Amino acid sequence: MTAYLIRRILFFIPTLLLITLLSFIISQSAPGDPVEQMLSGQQSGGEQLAERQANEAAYLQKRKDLGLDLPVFYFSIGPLAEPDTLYKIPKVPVQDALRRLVYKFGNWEAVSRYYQALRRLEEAFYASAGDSAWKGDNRTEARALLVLLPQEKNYDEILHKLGLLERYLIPALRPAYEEVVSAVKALPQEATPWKIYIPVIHWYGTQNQYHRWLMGLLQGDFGISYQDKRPITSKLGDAVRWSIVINLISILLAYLIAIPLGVQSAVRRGQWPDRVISVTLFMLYSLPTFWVGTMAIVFLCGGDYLSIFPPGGVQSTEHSPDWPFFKRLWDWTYHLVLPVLVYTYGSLAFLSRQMRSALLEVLGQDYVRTARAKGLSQRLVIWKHAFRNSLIPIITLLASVFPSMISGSVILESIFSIPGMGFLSYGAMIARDYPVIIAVFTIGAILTLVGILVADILYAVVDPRISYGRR
Amino acid sequence: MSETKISYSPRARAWQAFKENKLALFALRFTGVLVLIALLADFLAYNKPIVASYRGEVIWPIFRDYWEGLTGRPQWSGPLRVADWRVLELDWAIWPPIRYSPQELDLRNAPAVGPFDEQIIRSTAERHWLGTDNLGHDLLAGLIHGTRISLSVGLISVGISALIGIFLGALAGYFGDNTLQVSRASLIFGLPGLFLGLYYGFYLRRYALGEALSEGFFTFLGLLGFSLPIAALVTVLVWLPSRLLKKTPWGAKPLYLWVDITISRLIEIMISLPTTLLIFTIAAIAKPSLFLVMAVIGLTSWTGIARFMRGEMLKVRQLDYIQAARALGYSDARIILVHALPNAFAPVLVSIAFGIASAILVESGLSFLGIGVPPETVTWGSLLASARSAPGAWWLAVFPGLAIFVVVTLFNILGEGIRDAIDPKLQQR
Repeated sequence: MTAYLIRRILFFIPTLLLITLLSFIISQSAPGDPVEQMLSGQQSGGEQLAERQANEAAYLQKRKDLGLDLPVFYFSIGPLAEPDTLYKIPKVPVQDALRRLVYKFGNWEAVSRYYQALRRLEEAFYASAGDSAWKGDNRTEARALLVLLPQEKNYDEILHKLGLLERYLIPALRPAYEEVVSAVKALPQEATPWKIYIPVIHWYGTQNQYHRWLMGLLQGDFGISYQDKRPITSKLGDAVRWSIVINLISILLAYLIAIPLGVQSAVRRGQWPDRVISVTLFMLYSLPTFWVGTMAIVFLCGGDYLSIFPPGGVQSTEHSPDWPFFKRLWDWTYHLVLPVLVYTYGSLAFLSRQMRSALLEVLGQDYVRTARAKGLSQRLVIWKHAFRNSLIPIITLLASVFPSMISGSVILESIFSIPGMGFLSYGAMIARDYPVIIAVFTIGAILTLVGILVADILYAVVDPRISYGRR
Repeated sequence: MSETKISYSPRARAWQAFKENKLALFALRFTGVLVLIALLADFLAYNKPIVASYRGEVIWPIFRDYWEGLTGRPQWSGPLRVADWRVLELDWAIWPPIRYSPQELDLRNAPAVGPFDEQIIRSTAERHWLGTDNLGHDLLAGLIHGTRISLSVGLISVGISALIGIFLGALAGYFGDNTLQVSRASLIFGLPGLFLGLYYGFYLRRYALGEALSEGFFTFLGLLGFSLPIAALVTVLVWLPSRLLKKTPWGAKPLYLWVDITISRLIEIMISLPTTLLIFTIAAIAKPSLFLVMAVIGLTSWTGIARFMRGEMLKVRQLDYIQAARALGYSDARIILVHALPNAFAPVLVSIAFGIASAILVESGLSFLGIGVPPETVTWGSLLASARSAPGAWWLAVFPGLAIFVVVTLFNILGEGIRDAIDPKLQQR
């Protein structure tokens, strides 16, 4: 068995790595620029050249601090036309637009010339802030176009925007503008499409974003929240406690109720208690928890109907640490009864249905018949002989109940406003706070993985019949 | 007992057993009704009549709207373009039973009017039978059209997962680890060929494919129709020279492909992912799109089907008739598709039924939270969520949830029914 455990744990590591990779890929596809998110509210308008340069310096510094000036992964695959240093260009949408141009024309030199020309035009534009030649709204219009141009992926759209820009520009900017236009015109002429069709692999080594993120992860660092710029680890720390408390209570309750229910149901198979239990559990099993939760909030929690329970939260507003312990405990209990009930019934139904079928399976075995034939009492047969063996699959179900509770808590915690991980994650989803969403997913995935590992080990420890030798 | 023809084919026997299960049969019929509601949603709840006579001219407004949606050419002109048909002076008209569209706002009955409350309406036919939400959407119209969304989410996402699951499961079960062999030469040329094929077919086209995915199912399918042949063609082209190398003894050495181990590991990894959380995460990050939700649910929930399929295939491939088919020299593809799959399919049907139930549950959970599904789409989940902003509106809390509950229960009953019907142990009673 030791060999099995070692192998099991060895399998755990690559799976964990794969999951971190998946989290990272998802986080990469999040829209928007993380650096700008981090700097939000700190940057000034940027009308003047000096202001703009300061902004850009701040941007580059932040980007470096966050490690976003590094290549994304250990290696990259791309066409020969794509330079291996494209990642160095600041602003992800600009990078993206340039990459698409390279994919279209296959000539990085030409694309780069266009980009440089555009940068010079921008610089000249911001330097011309005080020029009296600007009339009316022209400057604002031109500025809007200049902000959009570097992010434009579509060639025809670039031509169109340049055409619009021409109308607003003052004569002083003409040469810079002409330079951009000629660079753009050169793109299709100097296209080298064959370079797109040769794949090249670039190796970057460990100086990359994923490696940096993974190393942080291993030290418990999940990055910084967009919303309040706090480290995610400390935000999660408070939240995780509530989630764990509620989930543990619910799992415990579910097991405590489900096992006797399932046993009764199996022992009296086909009789009326079994029918009643089975039908009820089946209904409970299909009841969406978010419906039950919403109904509970609307009807029981002080809306226009009954007001038996508090309308959410984990403690009353006047709750303070100075209260005597039992008063605090009572306050918490009063707030948590309803959420815990809603949390519990789903897994309760699932578990007791499983318990019933597991026990039924065991009751059909020969050794149970032997025990009966020996003249043992029904009680002894069931509890001593059958029950123990039927428990084994139930134990391993912990592995599937646990993760479903984690994801279930996203909905339930947001219904009952419990400040746990799910609520935090929901808030982050609404506010588009991607680092928090990713962190919650990663933690959830790791917890799931650990749950499965623990269940497997329990299974191996509990059930001596199963041999784990090499197949 | 009446004398019935006794059939011995397992499928006929399973159908017989299923029919004896009254509850399951009822669930099947009810599902049929729901499918009808989904298909005919526009003729059940719409703010224009099915057919009407306006100033002596007979018009079919719903069909005209269909035509407009299909061709993109505006079909309405003059006052009819913006008219509220309910106040139009029509000579005669045949209306859908509910005279509201799901997205339509009835501002006069706006902040959540209940089914038994007094409603400001012109006639009983315009009553909001199940009330309205805070903005004045008709709840019943929303529920009827929501049926369409829920069922299509269930069917399409499970369709995707069934395709993947059956394909991978059948491969793993049928071939195992020591059946499928390729020559060393094929492998040496085939793997780089596959790499290049994926590169040209998918990697270079990834931007276009990604955009199509959020645009819609058919755009995506159309682009995929280009990508797949490109990938296949390139792979085959690179692989072709291996025919020469194969003539040498070194190149001809056969190697076994570990089909089963590879696929089983893949399944294990997928199982250890928190699927629901993954779906939530992706839906929260990507641009809201119903098809994306379906695709993500489908791509993450195929493991159950694959495991069932693999197990059944392992059983089936031992059977005599498969051996006989092999002896007759049939190709593997023919044996799998024509002979093995149909017999291994029954347990997969159970997974499919349960899968539809859970897909519908996940989608309504998502739209309840308001992630992944575009905000203007009216779904059962989003209707239920509106109960949270209208605390006294019991009808908003009860009916949408009831709809979700009923559909989920139906598919669960169906799943159980099929499982009982194909379980030989139960049939021996």
